[in-house]
Order: sequence, then structure tokens, then C-alpha cells
Amino acid sequence: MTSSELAKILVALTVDPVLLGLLFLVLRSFVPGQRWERISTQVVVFSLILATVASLGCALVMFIGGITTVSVLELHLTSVSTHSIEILLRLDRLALPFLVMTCVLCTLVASFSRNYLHRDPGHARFFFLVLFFCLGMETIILGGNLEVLFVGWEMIGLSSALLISFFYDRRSTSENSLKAFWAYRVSDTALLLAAILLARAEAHHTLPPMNLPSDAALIVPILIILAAMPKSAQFPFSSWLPRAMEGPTPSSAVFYGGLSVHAGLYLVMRMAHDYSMPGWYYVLLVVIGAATALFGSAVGKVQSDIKGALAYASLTQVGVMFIEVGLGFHTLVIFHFIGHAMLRTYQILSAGGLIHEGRTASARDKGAVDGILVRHLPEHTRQALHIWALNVSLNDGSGPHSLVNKIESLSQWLASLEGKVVETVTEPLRKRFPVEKH
Amino acid sequence: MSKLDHILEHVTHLLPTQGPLEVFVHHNTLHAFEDLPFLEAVEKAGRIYGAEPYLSEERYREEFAKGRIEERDLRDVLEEQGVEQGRSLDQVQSLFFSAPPRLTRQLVMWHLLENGGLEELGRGSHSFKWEAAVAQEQGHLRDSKRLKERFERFARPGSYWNAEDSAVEDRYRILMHSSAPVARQRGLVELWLSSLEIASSFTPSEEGRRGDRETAYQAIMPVITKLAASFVDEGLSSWPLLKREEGFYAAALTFLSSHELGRGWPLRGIRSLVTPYVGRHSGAVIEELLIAEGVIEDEWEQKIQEELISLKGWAGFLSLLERREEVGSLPKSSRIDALKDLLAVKMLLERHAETTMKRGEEKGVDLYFDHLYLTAYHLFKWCQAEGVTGEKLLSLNKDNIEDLFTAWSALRRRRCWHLAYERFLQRRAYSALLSAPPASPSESEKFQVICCIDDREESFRRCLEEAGGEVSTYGTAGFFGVDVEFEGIGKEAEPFCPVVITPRHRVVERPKAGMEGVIDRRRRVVESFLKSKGLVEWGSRTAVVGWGVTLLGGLAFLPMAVRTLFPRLSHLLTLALQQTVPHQATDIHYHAVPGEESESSMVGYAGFELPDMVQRVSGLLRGIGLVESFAPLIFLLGHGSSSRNNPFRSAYDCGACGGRPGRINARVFALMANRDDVRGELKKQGIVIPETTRFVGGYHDTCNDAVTFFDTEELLASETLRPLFDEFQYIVEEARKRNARERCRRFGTAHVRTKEEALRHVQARSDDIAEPRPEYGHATNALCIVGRRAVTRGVFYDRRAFLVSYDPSRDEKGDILTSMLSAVVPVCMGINLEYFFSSIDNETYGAGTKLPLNITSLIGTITGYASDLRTGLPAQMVEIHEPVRLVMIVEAPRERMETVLQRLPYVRKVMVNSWVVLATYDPEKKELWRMNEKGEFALWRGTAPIAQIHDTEGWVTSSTEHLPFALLEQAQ
Repeated sequence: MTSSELAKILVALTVDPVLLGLLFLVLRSFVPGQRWERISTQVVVFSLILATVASLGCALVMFIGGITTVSVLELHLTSVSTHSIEILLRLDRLALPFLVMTCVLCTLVASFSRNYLHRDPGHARFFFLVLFFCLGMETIILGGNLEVLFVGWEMIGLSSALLISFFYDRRSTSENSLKAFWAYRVSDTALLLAAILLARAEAHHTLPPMNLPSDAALIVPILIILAAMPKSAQFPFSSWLPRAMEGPTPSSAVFYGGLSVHAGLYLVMRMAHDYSMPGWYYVLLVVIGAATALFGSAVGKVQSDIKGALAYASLTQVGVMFIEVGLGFHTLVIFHFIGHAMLRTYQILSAGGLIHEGRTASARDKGAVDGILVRHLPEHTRQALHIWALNVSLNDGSGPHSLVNKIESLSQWLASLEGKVVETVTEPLRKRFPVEKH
Repeated sequence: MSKLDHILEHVTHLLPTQGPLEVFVHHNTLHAFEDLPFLEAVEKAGRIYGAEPYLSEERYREEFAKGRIEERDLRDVLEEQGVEQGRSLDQVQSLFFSAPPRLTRQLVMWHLLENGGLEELGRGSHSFKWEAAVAQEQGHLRDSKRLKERFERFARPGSYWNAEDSAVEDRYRILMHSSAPVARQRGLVELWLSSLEIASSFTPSEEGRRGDRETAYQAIMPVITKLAASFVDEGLSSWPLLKREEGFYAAALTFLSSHELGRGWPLRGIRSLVTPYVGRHSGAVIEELLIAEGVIEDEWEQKIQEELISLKGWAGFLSLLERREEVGSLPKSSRIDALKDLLAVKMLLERHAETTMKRGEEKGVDLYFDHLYLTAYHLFKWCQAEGVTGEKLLSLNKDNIEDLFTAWSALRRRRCWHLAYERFLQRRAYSALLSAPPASPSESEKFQVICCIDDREESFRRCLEEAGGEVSTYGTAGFFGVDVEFEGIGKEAEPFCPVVITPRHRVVERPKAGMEGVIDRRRRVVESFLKSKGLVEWGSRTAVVGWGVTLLGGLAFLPMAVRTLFPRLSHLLTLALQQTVPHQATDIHYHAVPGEESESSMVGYAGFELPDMVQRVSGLLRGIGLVESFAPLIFLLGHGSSSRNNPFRSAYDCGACGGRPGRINARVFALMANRDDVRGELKKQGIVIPETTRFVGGYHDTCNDAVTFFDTEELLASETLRPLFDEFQYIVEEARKRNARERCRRFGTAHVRTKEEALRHVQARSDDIAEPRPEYGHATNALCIVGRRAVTRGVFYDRRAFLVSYDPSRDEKGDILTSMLSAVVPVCMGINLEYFFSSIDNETYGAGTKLPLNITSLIGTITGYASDLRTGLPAQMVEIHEPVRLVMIVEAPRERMETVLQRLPYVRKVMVNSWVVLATYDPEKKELWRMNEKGEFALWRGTAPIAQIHDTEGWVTSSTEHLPFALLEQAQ
């Protein structure tokens, strides 16, 4: 067996246990009973450990064997006119660290949740969604073309929204889940359009696109950035992220500290590999990243709850990573991503100890590191910034949500208009044939 | 004092008084209602807070099915409550067993139409299919039309008559006009329609307006809660609310009226609304807004009460800031009128929300109809039970109908259920005590152990006694009468005593001679660790420093993996780190040294003088009845609990030490009691402690069952005492394992077979960052028994009893009992009722589920992104709790008890009002006298089966649920 064949099997082994775990949870849901809790978590954690071991093995084999790309699956589904729809799964050196991190963090978080979610009525739902999310991340990471990537994109969006509204009996969880979902819709639409445009231009495309067709050269990079921004909560699509902190802590940690928030980053890197994108694409990334970093660190300063503060901290650092991608520091980004995902996940997971374990340190030392960017601002500017930041964090209005509100009220108006029209038109009829008639 | 101040003073009593979670002091959630009898109070509070007064009927029915509620208790309760009068048993039974769960309008409709809900009352009677239901007469149609008109009057166009409801209407019509009439069923349909008719006149139309107000509040809730959080922030954010030193109102209005506002919901346009109010006094603004809203002065209190209770967490906290200077670190100028400020800002925001609320967001209509249908459904069921027909119902006058409501209300049923639920436990507790054979005190005890009265120490004491036969145990409040302010090395001074006491003495921890170097090194290491932790914590939240910090963030993998995957390894590592400093490296300076007073003038004077020490030592020994037959070794075990990642950690600590771990108190007591001068003075008082007897202070961690002893060098050096001490350590080792085994049966994630595994499990548990229930705390509390251990030693209490040592034979005048009850009753009752209310209605009185909790302002928790400040206990702490009032049994003649109660008006009040169920016990005559609502004692006659335990370990592992009280064989 050659090392590339071995690598191929190992990649498959990072996905298959997750699939089997999901299958188990689905089948198990037909058999009611309390005793399933322990078995389910064991199956989930075990399958994730398998996937982690396989992903680490994969890394080892790829480095020892000097393999740059493992093609896992090339499945030709069907052809529509000139374009063939294919399932392409492959692992390269960009995808590898993301794959390993996905497996490691999902394992840690699932393991954490064994005790954390114990006795919760939504126990099975939670583990299903975490596995589903893991599969979604793997799909994005291994996706060899935009169509496959899009499927994963939808999967993590759906699982994210469902986990935000995990405690669905509280009204605010559903509202905030919808906010995240709206942001994802913008992202999904952009990605789908990009996929269609690419497919039209190239009969058989892979990622990153080798040479962008001229008619798509302008629009595709914009769509890709537009797809990445809401997913990674980049400015001005940031306000949903702190509001997403409604689910159980481990899901908040793995989504908004660890993995999901970096999905946009992965997309822009995936497309930008080997400098296949026009130069202004990179400039735009730097601009967006810088805006987000400034925005996030300023608004983060007024957060008085720990999860809100960490949410802004997350999007700030992802913004910094966007800058790094734009400047071409690809290796640095990978290290930054690994460090950030690890630290942030741990911070959110252990945020409950803040009052008893971190009090002295935090209260005393904040002056030491706070405000390299704002330290030299004049007092009134600083105050204005403070008020602006508080306003932004309290109002839903930043970015797309004012638009969403408008769409919402427009559709409500249309619905009531329709009702009125129908009523007016059917009025004579109803008078003639009352329903009471028998 | 203005009218507004007067009102606010009233309302303040209704707000929670929970301070920053750094310490958690259990107290009666409904403290403000203690002047009322218990049942009246919970029902009144239920209305005020919108909370459940008792558990749900389904829950009680489940408990009945499980055998936790017995029919005989229910029957007794019904008789006492007068429910059975004039009704057949069948009627009563059917009411208790077929009442509908909490329903919405849609569910009522579904129940009626699809679920056979219109069938006759009672179980298993005629099965009734809607297909067969018929009503032919035109009269019904007329009723139905009238009904529809009524609906339409309340419904707003487009919002209510949706497709679903017209389908229901159609269904009715079909039913009314099909053939094959059946008289009874027609009667039922008629009755249902009449019930709706009547119910509509009993449904207040404010129900709808209340709904609209709620919607307005929901819209601005994130704004007001986040402003309040930012205002009180103790150091979580870099930028707390601007100008907060000028008070909340001024700061909030500065923000709301600033130019930078403007975009987006919900604050858009608020600037023009609030600008006229800038610089005004919040009190005046409240009055103006009330008048503008058209609230007449008589209704101000009601309105303000509703306003503040809908935000009771933050309102309570701000009011606490206003009243208690030691809470939080805000300057004085911020605190003046904080509650008024909050109210004024909230009212302004709500006014803004009401005027700008988007159409279609009102939910008042739905609420109105929910209420209507529920009332109708209940009426419908009651009328059937009472044999009232539809026609008769319409002819009843208002009083008759109100009688129906009270006679059959679900509240009344739940009250009966609850009383029966409690009676079951009381019966068993009394019977167990009555049937326990008195344990004969052993002649020569080697060890005496004084623990806290805590219910968790019940099992530990029992395990100690079982592990070594020559151990006898005592229970007393865990601060051992030593009220101190303690300054540990590198820590700020903190009070270690019940919150009602202000400590007048300070004790200080100092390195032992020759140990300064070690201690100092360690202090420096800890400090730099905390500093770098702070750097990571804060730095990671900024852009530039955060870049550097997160680049190295991969290092977080190590602690995360260890703490998540291998919590026990983490525990062992923590222990190893602690070992780097020799265990006995510090001394406690506790005695007053003349000339050093100036340093700590804040607490009066430093340290204890001889009379203070003598008073404390003799007070404790007399209190627990240990004044002779001293064992060679007497241990005092303080307690506390270690857990990680747990905002509620201090709720597990010792309540008698003010919600802190009680190490220092036991340690200081032992040092004092070992002094020759103290013993000399004690001898003069008639307490002769043999020279060979040593007191040893210790500490029991109730989470990981670790036990440590302090200041043992002398002991270890002594030739006579060393072997004894070793023997005791062996007993403790065994007791820890047994205790851990017994505790593990309640943990669903503990899959242990042996007691060694159990100990390892609880060790891992205490260091597991993923564990929402490191231990179950006081979740099993139910009883409080004051008396000699000999009386309780033969009974297995399943960690459900506070055990207070008291020797009635040495307290003829009742002085000891008086001082004991004055401390024990508030503490035990506070714990019991905090758990009680947090489990009865966890959302309203408790903190809700722990899983999405979010720390805010370093002082408390909120749920998810934004919510009111949560108070009370989280669901995971109370999930196994049985909410029952404390059953208190005092071993003392009832005449003495009466005298004592005369001296303690507060204790008497709560006993008479049944917040605690009191009984006295006479072990000689085997008689138990129970106090009733009038404050009189009556002889209790009752029985309950009491099991015999042959093998304790087998017994405790036989079930994961609460175990019945049982007699221990070994003790006989």
C-alpha cells in the first residue's frame, strides 16, 4: 500500500465514524428510554476519538510521505448540459490543519458535554447537532468544489441556528437564532451564486479555481467575500455573534470560539490559494479585517458579560486573520487559527469559573494590557467611541438587520394586503353562500 | 418621606436580596412574606411574582403513582381542608386524577375535539366519540352565534380569526347538525358553550393589556439589563457605563440622549423622547410618567410593583447597592437612589417601545383567549362534577359561580396534594425517631468529632461512627462559635461567621519561623501565575495584544484536554502543586497582643483576649453537651466544597461561615481549647478537660471528601497520642470512602462499583470543569433534629437531616436551647426554603438551567445573551430535591420549648406560621408533640413502616432515589 492510499483511507476514517455516529443516533431515537443517554454519549465520543486519531494519522502520513494532496473521492453524479455535477473530496495542506482542529475540538467538546448535558431533556438533540456540525465542517474542509462546500456550509448554518435556539421555550433564544439564521442566509445566497457562476464558466472546476473566466472575474471574488463575512461575523455582519450565545456553553464554545466562526476564513483562504484571485481581493480582505478588528475591539470593551466579551474578542481576532490572509501570510494564519480556536474554546468552556477563579487577576491587571489602540485618544473622542460602541452593541441596527427588519415588515404588509384583497373579492360570494348553510 | 419613597420602601421588600455570587448566603426566598401563614404566603407570592405556588398537578400525580404520596395522607388532608364535604368520594377522586394539565387555548380545543375531552368526568366512564355527538336544537346555534360575536368584539381584524379557529367553528357546526341525538352528549355540548359564556365574564380584559405591556418590556429588556450590568460592573468590561459615578439615571440618560444614537431598533428615535428628562431627578420623572400614563395615585404601588418585579434581579441588586455600602465597589455617589433611577429609566424605555412598537407584535389577544378557554374548561369540568347543567349554569348568580371557582380551583387541589406530599415525609420522620432504640453511650470513647450541623455531614458522621466503634460525633454550627475576620497570606481579610454577626476579632495567618522563604516564593509564583492569567484573559480580548496571545493559544490545549478528559489527573496535579509548600508552614495569630491594636482598628481590636476565648470554648462545649468524659482526641471538622468552573461554588460552602469554607474557625477553636490558661478558667466553671486531651482542627471537603488536619506537629511528636491519631486517620480514610460511595448513588454519571472507585470519582468530580453538579449540596435537606446523638444514632437519615447536638438534661432553664435555636432556625430554614422555592418554580424563584448561564459584571449570572440577573439556585442544584418544609424535632420537654419560643419572637413567628414544622420529642416516654398553627402542642399519633438495615453498603447502593428512613442494625 502506498502512502497516498493509506492517507486516503485515513481521510475516509475521519468522516465515516461521524456518519456512523449520526446513523446510530437516528436509529436510537426510535427506541425510547432513559438508559440511552450513556450509550449515546459513548458512541459519539468514541466515533469522534476515532476521527481524531485518523486525522492525526493523516497528518503524519502526509508529512512523512511528502504528500500535498490526497484525492479522496471523485464521484460523477450527473451532467446538466455541459456541466457535470460531481462530488469531489480531497485533502491538501491547507485543509489538513482545519481537519485536525475540527476533530480535536469536536472531541473535546463532546467529551465535555458528557457530564455537562447529563439529564438535560435535549441531550440526544444536542449530540446529534454536534455530530452533524462536525460532519458539516468536514464537508467544507474536504470539499473539492464549491457545490460540495456549499452543502457543508448549509449544514453548519443549520446546526448553529438550531443550537442557538436549543432552549426553545425562551422567546429570546428563537429570536436570536433567527438573527443568526438571517446572517447565514445572506452568506448562503452569495455562496450559491458563486457556485453557479463558476459552474457555468468551467465545466469541471476544482478549488481554488485555476483561472477565473473573465465574465466572473469581478463578481465571483465579491460573492466569496460576501459569503465569508457573515459566517465569520465580519463587519458589518457582526451583531448576530454575541446574540448567538444562547445555547449550552459547549456549543457556544465550539461554534463561536472554535470552528464555525473560522469557516469564512477557510473559504477566503481556499479560494485565494496560490494567488488565484485578483489583487483587489486581497486588499478587500485587509480592509474588512481591519474594520472588523477595530470594530470588535472597541465594541468588545463595553461588554459586561463574559460570553458577549468573548464573542467580540473572537470576531476581532478572525478580523486580524483576514488581514493576514490579505497580506499573504498563509502559514502565520494557520498558526493563528490553531492558537485562537484552542484558546477561545477553552475560555468559553471555562467561563463559569470567572467569579471564583479569576477575579483578582482580571480586576487588577486590566490596565496593563488595555487599549494600545485607544490609549492615546483624546478624552472626548474616547467618550464618543464608548457611547458609539455601547449603542452598537445594544441596537440590532448595525449592518444587515435594519434591512432584515424592512424585508420583514414589507412581507407582513404584503400578507395583510393579500388578506384584504381576498376578503373584498370574496365578500359577495360569502354573502350569497354563508358557511352556516347545510 | 414622599409617597413614592414610601411605595418603593414597600416594594423593596419584595425584591431578591442576593449579593455578588462571590459568597452565597441561603435565605428564605419569600422572606418578605414571613408574617403570613405559609400556605397563604406562597399563594400570595405566586400571584405577585407570577410564580407557581406548588408543584404541578401532573407531578403530584406521578408521585402518587410512585407511592411517594399515599392515599391515607391525601384523605386526611382533604378532611382537614374541608374539600370532601358534601361530595361523593368519586367526585373528589375524579377531580384529583383527571384535572387537565396547563393548557393553552389551542390545547383546550384539541383536547375537546380530538382527545375525547368532552367525555363525562372521571376515568374509564363512557367512551365518547365526537362523531356521535349531536345537538339539534336551534338554541345551540344561537349560543354559538352569540359566542362568535363576543370573539369578534375582542379580536382585532386579521389577528385572531385565522384559519385554524374557523376550522374549529366549522367542526362545531357539523356536530350540531348531524343526526342521531344523544341527550347526555348534547347536554355536554350545551354545558361547554355555557361555560365559555360564563367564563368570558370572569376573564378580566386587563389580561390583554398585560400582554401588550409584556411585549414592550421584552423589546427593551436587553437594553435595560445591559445598561444595568454595565453600571454595576466590577471589572468584567474595560469600559463600564460612562458617568456612572453620577448615578444610574444620569449615566443612562447621558447615553440615551447622545448624538451617536439613532440607527436601528429598538433605540431609534429615543433621543427626542428622553432629552427633556436629562438632568431631572428620577423620582420626579417617575411621578410624571405615572401621571402621564393615567395611573391614579391609589394604583401607583401596584404599577411600580409590577414594573420592578418584572426586572426583579437587577432591581434587587441595585436596591442592595443603595442600602448596603459593603456590596460592590461603586462610589457612594453612584448608589444614591439607584432603585428609583432604574425604575425611571425602565419606564422611559418602555414608553419608547410602546410608541414605536411594530404592528402585529401585540400578543394581548392571545393571552386573553388563553385565559378565557382555560377558565371555561375548568368550569366545564366542575359543573359536571357538581351536576350543574348548561342551562343551570347560565342561571347561576355571580356569587354561586365564585363559590364554584374556589371550591374546585386547581390551586386548592395542589395545596391538598402538597400537604399530603409533606405529610408522608413527616410521618416517616416521626416514626423513625419513635421506633429507634436509644444507643447506649459507650464508656470509653477514644475520639470525639465535632462537625457542622450540615445535612451533608449526617452521612459522614454516620460513616465515621460505623468505621470505628469508639467514635462519637457532635453537631454544631460550622463556625464553632468563633466569629472572626481572617486574613490569609496574600489575601484580603474576610469575615468567617454567620452573616448576621459582625466579627469583632481578627486573626492573621503568618509563615512559621524559617518558612518565610518558602511561603514567599510560593506567593510570588501564585501572583505571577495570576498576573499572566490576567494578561491572557484581558489581552486575548484586544486586537493587538490579542494577536500575540492567541498565536500562542495552542498551549490552552493542555489544560483543556486534561481538565475535560482526565479530571482526576487534574485533581492529582493540583494536590501535587499544593504539596510544594509544607502543609504546616503557617501559624495563626489569634490572641490579642497589646500594642498591635492600631493596625486593625477597623474591626475593633485584633485577636482574642483570655475571657473571649474562655467564653467561646465553654459556650460551644456546653451547647453540644460535651462537658465531661472527654476523649483523648477531639476533632473539629469545618467544611467547604471545592469545584471548578462553577458560579455557584460558594453556595456549597459552609453557611455558618457566611458562605465560605470553614477552615479557619475549626483551627482557631482547637488552638484556643488547647491553651492551659483557657483550660484553667474552664476548670473554675466546672468543665474539667484532662491534660491529656487534645483538640485538633480539621477540614472536610464535602465535594471530594478530602479531610485535612491543622497544627498537628505536637501531636505527631507525642508518643502517646501519635498512635491514636494514626488510628483515627485510618478511620477517617475508611469513612471518606464509605461516604463517597453513599454520595455516588445519586450521581447519574458515577458508574462505580467499589468504595475506592467512588472516592476516586468524587475527587475527579471536584476538579471537572464540565461538571454542572460537582455535588448535590443541600438538595436532600428535609429534617432538623436537635438533641443528643444517642437519640438519632440508630437511624439512617439518608443525608436528609441537619443534626444539632443538644443535651436537654443539662439545660433546665432553656438558656442553651434559646441561644441555639436563635442561630439554628434561621440558618436551616433559610437553606430549606431557598431549595424549596428554587425547586417549586425554578424559572421565577431559581436561576434556571445552568447550561447557558453567562457571568455578568463579575457579580452574578444571566441566561444566554441577555436576561434579568438570575437569583436563587440553578435547576441542576435542585433537580433531586423534594420541596418540603423543614421538619424540626427538638428533644426537649414541650414546656421548655414553649418558654424558649416566648423568648424568641422571630422563631416563634415562623413556627406558628408553619414555615418550619416543629415538634418536640421525649425519648423516655416515646412521645412526640407537634405544634399546630395556633402555637399549641398536640400529641402526634401516627404510624409509618420503618425498615431495618442489615447491611448499610448494600442498602445505600440499592437505589438511586431518596431512601426511606430506616433503623441501623449495628447501633443496637
